[in-house]
Amino acid sequence: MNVILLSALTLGSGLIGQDPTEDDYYRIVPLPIPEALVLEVSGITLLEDGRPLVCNRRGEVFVVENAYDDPAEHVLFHKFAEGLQEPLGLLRQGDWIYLAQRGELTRMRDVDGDDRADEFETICDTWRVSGNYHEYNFGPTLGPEGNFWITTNKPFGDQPFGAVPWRGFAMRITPEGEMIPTVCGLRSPSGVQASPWGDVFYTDNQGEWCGASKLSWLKPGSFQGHPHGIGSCEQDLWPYEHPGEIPNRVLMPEVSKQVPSFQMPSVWFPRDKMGRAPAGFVWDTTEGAFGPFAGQVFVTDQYEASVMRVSLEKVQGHWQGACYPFRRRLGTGALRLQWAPDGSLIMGGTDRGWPSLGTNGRGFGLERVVWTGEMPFELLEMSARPQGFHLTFTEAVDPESALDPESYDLSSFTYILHSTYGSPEVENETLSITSCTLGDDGRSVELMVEGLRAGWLHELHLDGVRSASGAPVLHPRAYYTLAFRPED
Amino acid sequence: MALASEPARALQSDSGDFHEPLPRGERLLSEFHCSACHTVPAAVFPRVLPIEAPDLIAVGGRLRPDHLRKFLAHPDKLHPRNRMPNLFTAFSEEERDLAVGELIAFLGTLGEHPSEGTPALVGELERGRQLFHGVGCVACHRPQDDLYDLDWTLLELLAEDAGEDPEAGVDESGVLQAVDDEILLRPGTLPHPDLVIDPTWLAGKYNVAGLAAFLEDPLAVRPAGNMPDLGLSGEEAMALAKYLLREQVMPLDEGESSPGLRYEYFEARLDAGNPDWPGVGPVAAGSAPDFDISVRKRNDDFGLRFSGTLEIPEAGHWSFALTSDDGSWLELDGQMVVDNGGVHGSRRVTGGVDLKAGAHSIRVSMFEHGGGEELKVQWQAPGAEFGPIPAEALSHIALRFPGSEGTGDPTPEVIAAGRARFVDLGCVACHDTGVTGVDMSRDSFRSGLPDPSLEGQARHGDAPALVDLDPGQPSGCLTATTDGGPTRIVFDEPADRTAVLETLASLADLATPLSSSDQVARRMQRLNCYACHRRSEIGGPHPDGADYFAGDENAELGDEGRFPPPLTGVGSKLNGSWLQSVLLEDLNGPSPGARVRPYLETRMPYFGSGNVGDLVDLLRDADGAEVAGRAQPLAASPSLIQAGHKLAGIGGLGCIQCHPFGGVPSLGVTSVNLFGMTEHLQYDWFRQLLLDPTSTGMDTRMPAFWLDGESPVDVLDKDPERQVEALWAFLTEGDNMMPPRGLNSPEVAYELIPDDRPLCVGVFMKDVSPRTLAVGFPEWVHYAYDMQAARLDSSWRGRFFNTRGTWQGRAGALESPPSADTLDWPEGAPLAALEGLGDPWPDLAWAFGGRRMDSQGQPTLLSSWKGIRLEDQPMPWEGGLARELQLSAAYPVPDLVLRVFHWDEGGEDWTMPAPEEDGLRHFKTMDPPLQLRVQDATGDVTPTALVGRGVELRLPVHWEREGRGARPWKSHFRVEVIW
Repeated sequence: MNVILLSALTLGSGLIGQDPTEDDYYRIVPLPIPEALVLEVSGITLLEDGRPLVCNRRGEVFVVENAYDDPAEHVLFHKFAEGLQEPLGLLRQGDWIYLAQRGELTRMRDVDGDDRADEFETICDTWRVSGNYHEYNFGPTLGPEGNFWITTNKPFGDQPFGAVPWRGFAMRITPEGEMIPTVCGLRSPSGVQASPWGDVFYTDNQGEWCGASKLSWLKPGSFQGHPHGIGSCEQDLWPYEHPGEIPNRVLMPEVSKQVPSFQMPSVWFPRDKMGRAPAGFVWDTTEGAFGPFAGQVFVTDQYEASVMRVSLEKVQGHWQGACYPFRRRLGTGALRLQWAPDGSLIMGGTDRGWPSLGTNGRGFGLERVVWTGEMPFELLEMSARPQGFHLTFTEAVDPESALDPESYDLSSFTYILHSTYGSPEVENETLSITSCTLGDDGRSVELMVEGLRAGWLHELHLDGVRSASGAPVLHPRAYYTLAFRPED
Repeated sequence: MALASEPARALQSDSGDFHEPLPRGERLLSEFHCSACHTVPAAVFPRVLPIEAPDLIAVGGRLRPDHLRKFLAHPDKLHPRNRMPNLFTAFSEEERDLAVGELIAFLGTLGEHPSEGTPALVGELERGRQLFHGVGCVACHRPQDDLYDLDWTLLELLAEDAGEDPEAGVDESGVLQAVDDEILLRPGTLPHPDLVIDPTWLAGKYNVAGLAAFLEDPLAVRPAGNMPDLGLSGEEAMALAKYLLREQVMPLDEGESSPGLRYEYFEARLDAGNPDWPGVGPVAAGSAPDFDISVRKRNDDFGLRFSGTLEIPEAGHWSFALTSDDGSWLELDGQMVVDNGGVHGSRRVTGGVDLKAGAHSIRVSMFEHGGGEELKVQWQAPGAEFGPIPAEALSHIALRFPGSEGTGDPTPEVIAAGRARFVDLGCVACHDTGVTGVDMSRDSFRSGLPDPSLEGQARHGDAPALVDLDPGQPSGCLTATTDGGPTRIVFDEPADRTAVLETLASLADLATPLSSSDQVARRMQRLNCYACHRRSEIGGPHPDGADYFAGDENAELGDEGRFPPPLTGVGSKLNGSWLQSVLLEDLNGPSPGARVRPYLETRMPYFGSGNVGDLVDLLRDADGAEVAGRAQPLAASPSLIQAGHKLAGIGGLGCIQCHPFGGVPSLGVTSVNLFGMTEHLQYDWFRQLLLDPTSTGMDTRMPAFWLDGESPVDVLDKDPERQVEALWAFLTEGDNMMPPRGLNSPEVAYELIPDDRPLCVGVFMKDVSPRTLAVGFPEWVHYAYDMQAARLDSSWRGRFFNTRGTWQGRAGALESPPSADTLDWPEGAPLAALEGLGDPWPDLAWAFGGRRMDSQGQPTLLSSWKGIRLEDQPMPWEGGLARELQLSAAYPVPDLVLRVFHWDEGGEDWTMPAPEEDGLRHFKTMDPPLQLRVQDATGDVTPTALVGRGVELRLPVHWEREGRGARPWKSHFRVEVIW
């Protein structure tokens, strides 16, 4: 009783007697969408004046007025453009708005200032369209050399206008319209984003040849696991080595021994423990305006209608890290997110065609996630050490609980690369924590672990850990994809 | 008869009596088929056309011998107002019985005798009961249940009536006792003997299979059409037959008890909410040892109903458990004991009830939609555990309809004697038997035919010609006694006899030709159209039976939603071709769309083309369909169609409030569909209906929109006449109709309707490209541009686009313009550099470059090839399409040619038409025919026509330098096309 009372007092008077919830730290502010408007949000960017510009799967683009009212009572939508073919991302560069349609990378702009696009320019349509519904294109994001990166989905089913190359690829498109296929082996790459340091990452959805949903680095020339499109790598346009023959039914850590260009993911999102359909993601560039997670990544999950959190670090030249639950119960299956000028997170999405746990009952939505200013007690970051993991918390820990190995549960498993849908969690093992050491800052703990395995996902539960003020961890679990083990 | 509350329509004529359009004597001459024996003058014959007697080809398999025996002996007694003559007035009783026996032996050889009985299924009887009281039987026949009883099941009523004597009103021989006509015949309907269906009498007459076959195709037995074809399916006919013959079923309390249960098996997606599945008949039935679902014939969308008797060994509180997938129910003595309904996986539900020791009726129903299926029934005796119900506790009564009894095994001699009787007694005069032989031919017997060559050849009883009958000295059929020949009509009403005598006294009057109106009235009376339809203040559902006319309650249309439509003026209302379809096609078939009023439970029957005859022509003539000066519709123009579209929707007159739009329901009550209206209706009538609904005599709830000659909707200057024209023009679009605004359904939620600005949508388009931009204009002229090939593909008028296939679910459908009014533009590159103007058109990779939108939202499409830039702006023009084509290049690219248009067909001697007064060249003989003009900076220009494999119009490009810039060389064309 004392513990609960203590923690409640630290959180403010409204919470006495209740465990803290996500709502206490991150509020959701839905933006009401008029009944007549079907806004299946598939892309969000900001105009120069800060107003959001959103596109939908119907090929329409809208300017959102009064988007940052709280509560949002006077939101207006003004049509900026229409007639686009299923755009799934928006990117503003100066006056121009860039977007990938099914058949082309396009830019558009409003020349006369009436908030309607007047000019549409086809930048690149080197690839072709088969007429298969699943051949979505995602992006663009701006790469470090000034190229536009897009990802292409692989088809499922009929291709009424004939099969086409370059499906399941990440491609760079130069401002002049030249197309450079860059990464192969993608499956359903519904998010693509350049990191602050320039490397470009993408999310992929679990399925055949993709044992678990993931966030992965689009290292030029790499192969991400799905062999559907690699026939295109025989064309001259592919500037890298062909990945070669892809083995079926191989443990993920073993794949790169047979396929040298195979890219181990940065983060696996275990099915249902985290989500089912990761999509858009952004790095937290708010420098604290959104809370304690600056520099980390927020990733939507369309099925869960949730936002997940990811921390990355570079180990042996590879970007890897952990994912953590962050915020659930969004109004809709979120596809895209975008920082608002005030450091809140704009989120939009739709569950059309695929189920989601969205709560607003409309099948699409637009909302903001706003930090309340209260500090959640969370595992800020789980990072790998040669013999264990280093845990950093958002607040000082209660040493007694944090140094008790019994406060933790650690296990590991990996996945199989195979042609069937998804992979079970295999080679499971429970790991023993041999020691816990408190850092000088009072909010970090070093775990020494027996049995770390490179190529394995390490699942950590922290149900016993308490903050110095006695609060449990808001989301007491994390999943670290230990693709590589740091060297001593 | 309580007639106090009858509505106004019951007053059929000024006098308050039922008005007979046909004088009774004339009608009786026709109904009694007098011309079968009596020669009729040719001029009179059309007025006394006989109502053909039943065909006896399969009579032995249809009618029960006992019935035939009684009927032949006493046709007038068994069946009041019967048209069958008494054949034996001059016979002694012994002679008569001998003759009847021989006749029956002969008739028994006609048709097959189903010897096996048929299961009697309560559900099927129930279905037949609904059909009988629903589809229109009770328009002519007395209802067998009053409306109150129809709210109860037959079984419930049976329990109620247990004390009554079902044989009341029938004497030992089964002959109906004198019954007051008022009870048998609904006052006001035509006094037609067959209108009376007494269940007991009927049960004695038919066997089930025979009656079902008759109901399914009544015209085969009664070619006169006096029993019309209601379009019953075989299953429906059987259900109806079983209901009508329900008294043949062994009474429940006399049947033998059998072990196990009776089951009824259904194949349908059954209601998951309760075990009563009205309107669904079982497809199989039989006995099962217990609740065994293995009797099913498929694993999804089926149901089973087990019923019988459950023997409860001791009094007390008994519990029952149902484990089932999907739902199930257990009822005891009509009370629900276990309700395990709903769609679910294997689920166990229990319930309990206090029971006395002894027999209880049990009914267990289960249904399965999809997936696994299971049914387990358990009971729990007081103080005991749940366990299976032992087989000895279950029993049921096997209910069956008897098979045909047959006529024993008469000797060939007896049969031959019967056949001879059939000829000698004159039966052949009226009845076909299918038996070959000159003497069996109806024509060889008849004297009544107005065929001079047959005159004087009458064989039968020397029946005098009709003109020779002396009304002053009646004899034979015309007397009240039984004097006269062996075969004679017995008029059982003196008034009938008097009416015939009066008619015979002035027989020559019948030679007067009748007006079309009078002929229509006679035809309608003959076919009893008046039982359902009112025409010129005659007929329509009689108040006593009107409540049986039912419709879809959701239609909320009042009497309009349950009564067949009045036929006043129908000849000038409906198109002749549609009227013909209504009368001569089976509109009750599987496609309910064929029915104009699907919400009516009553079906429009089929009478046979021979009986309908020239009714359509008569109606058109009688109702003035051909008279001069009837309003004609304006030719539909795009602007008129658009105005009509606006009027039809919300914000206009709101037609869709009450009228469905194709498969899309109306917003409120339901009435006649907007689709097909202009195919069915004559414009003049449509106009009259809209301008003054009450003037059509339709008793319609159609609102009067235009009060004081002004429309509430500001379209076409609020002019009612023009608005009617506009609505008609819109409705003539048929399948191309743009869904009116305000419809609420998934189909139209995806309909794009350009309003004040053009609309653009990117789609996969069938036979074009997976990268197609469709652009729709408020002028209702639209186009599709193939971005992949950078070319204008097609343009069309009318509806713009429905994006359901692109915007719903995972989408990705191949779309097509929803209009047939399309124009295809030439395939391939829009321009090419050619050494010779007539060179084959090369395959060039023109590249799409995007689009520019002007302030009105009109796109200009950009493309390029080898540094030549083309800006193509197609836009609506004069109901067609104009294209502004701007070319620019860095240098004057030589030999560049514009491909203006291409026809696949065109002869060698084809020549270019000169521009006409409107400045356009009219290509009238081409497919498609169109009007075209090409202009450049100098004005109109003449493209070169290439004639050979089709006709193609080409135009060389002339460059002019304008300014400096990167592409200073320009050229400009304008192409205007109306198709």
